[in-house]
Amino acid sequence: MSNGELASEHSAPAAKVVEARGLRMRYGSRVVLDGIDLDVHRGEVVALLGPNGAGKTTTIEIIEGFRARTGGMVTVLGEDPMHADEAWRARIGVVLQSWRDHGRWPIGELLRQFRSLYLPFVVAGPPGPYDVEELLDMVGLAGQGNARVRSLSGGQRRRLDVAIGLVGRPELLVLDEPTTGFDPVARHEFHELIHRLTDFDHTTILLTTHDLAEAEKVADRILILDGGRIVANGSAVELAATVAGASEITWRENGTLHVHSAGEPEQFVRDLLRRPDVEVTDLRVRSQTLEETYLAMVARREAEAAGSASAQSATSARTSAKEAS
Amino acid sequence: MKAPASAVRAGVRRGFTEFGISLRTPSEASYIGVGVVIVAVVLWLNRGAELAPGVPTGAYVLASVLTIQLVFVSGYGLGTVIVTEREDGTLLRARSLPTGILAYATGATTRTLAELLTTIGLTLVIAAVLLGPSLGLDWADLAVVVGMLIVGIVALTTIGFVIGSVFRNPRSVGGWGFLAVGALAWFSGLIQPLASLPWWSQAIGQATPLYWVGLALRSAFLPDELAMLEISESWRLPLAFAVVSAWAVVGLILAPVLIRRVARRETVAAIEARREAALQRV
Repeated sequence: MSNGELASEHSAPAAKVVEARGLRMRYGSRVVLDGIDLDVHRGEVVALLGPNGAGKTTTIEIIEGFRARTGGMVTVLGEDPMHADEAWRARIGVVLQSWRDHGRWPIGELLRQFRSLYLPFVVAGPPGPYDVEELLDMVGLAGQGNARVRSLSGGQRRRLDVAIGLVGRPELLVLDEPTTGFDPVARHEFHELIHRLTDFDHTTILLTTHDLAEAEKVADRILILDGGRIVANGSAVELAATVAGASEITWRENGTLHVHSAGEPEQFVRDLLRRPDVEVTDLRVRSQTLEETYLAMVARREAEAAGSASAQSATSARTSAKEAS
Repeated sequence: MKAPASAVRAGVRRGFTEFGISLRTPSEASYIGVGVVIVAVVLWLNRGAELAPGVPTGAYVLASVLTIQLVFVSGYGLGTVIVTEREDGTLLRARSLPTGILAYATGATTRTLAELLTTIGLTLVIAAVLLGPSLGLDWADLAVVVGMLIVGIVALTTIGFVIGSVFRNPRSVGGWGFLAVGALAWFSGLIQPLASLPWWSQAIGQATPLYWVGLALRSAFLPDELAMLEISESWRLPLAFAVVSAWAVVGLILAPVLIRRVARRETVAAIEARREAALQRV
């Protein structure tokens, strides 16, 4: 019996770091989360994507143990976040929105202060908390240890928030809108950091964003949250393929511009080029970005909610086009 | 066992860092400095005045000043710090760290004690220079002063935590709290003897720990004959220690419960809402 359990543990593809089933949250009569199922596996980067007010922050606050849920089940690193102890807390890094605290502190001193809280929880095996200088370097604040928190720009402040979330070298890092206020360079560096964390430290990462390109770039899996429900779940490629579904093919046929949408463009292009007596020029195949997928999805959901006949016909037209290809 | 001890150590370090930052911040250092200068000026102006033959008025003033410093730094000051730090997200940050709340509470206590000991220490040095031997302190008196300051610090520091947990808006604590401290000082016989005030203010005064802290300090600084100026014409020392200790015990029980409860309620949404409200008021 115990052998069997051991074997099944080893054969499991990846342990679940976060598991939520039927998660519900209600403020008074307003339903914010309406039955969320969510899994994050060890080493995965999962992005929670959705428009403002979709329930992203509420979801991660429940996972962080900051907020009591109204219903459903949540397990994070094997424990219920609302009843977990300090040792559990030491395994999780948190980067929330809108920090304005510790303005007077020099950032190196602040990181050393927080780092010291993790030291009693160091266990044999994995390396303990990050070295402060190394951490400042990782988030792009090298050499600024003596700068006061208050003197930092918005983007630098956000980097410090990430550094604080990371200082205990967490198994699970949860970030709420981490790149707000970042310029394109900072954003790129942040994405590099995420990759470095998963590659070298096997950190599991759950982040929220409303930046679709960002989710596409950093996440192994994207969950789209809308109206308190998960409306899509998969890799960027899977979502683009299954939800809105199509690549856009444009070409000129004897000088006239043509556009066609197809789920699997290879066959269509092969047939197009095989046709005799037609001179095909300016051939382009462009797969839909997640952004287009996402916008299509939100638009379709809105249309479905409205329940209009035109929306239904648009959906069925898209489906038939996909089937035809 | 190991983690809490470590958090307390980190908290003590945190408190000294905060206090060090305060000393290097001109606006905050001058807050301490100005208070001490005012004390020096008041004692200097009263240097020739006598409450009774051979009893300097400064001795009465000194007892009141120390008590008011106690309530200002421990109760009012700490309360303001905690309400402010709830608003700016410091408490929520503490909550996101292992043993963070314990380290935070220890830090706030340490910072308050450091500020209080600096203020009271400077005041006592000034008093020693200006009043000197006329205070007539013997070892028993000194024991009363030190003992009452210790019990008083525990009582008022925990009250500071309670104030910080109960109020939501730093600006209301700043304004109304200031008035409340003033009124409390008056009702507690720190401005003029409580025995000379109407019966209802005597009732209020004797319910607060301030009256009893002031009373015990006066018993040390003033000659025994002046006990006749007090209610029931005695220093009532055992009762003074009993009342202030009772306040300390209540505070020690309430403060950790309230601070944990408050920290548990801090969320991003709550902090956002308060910030919005603050911005609209300006």
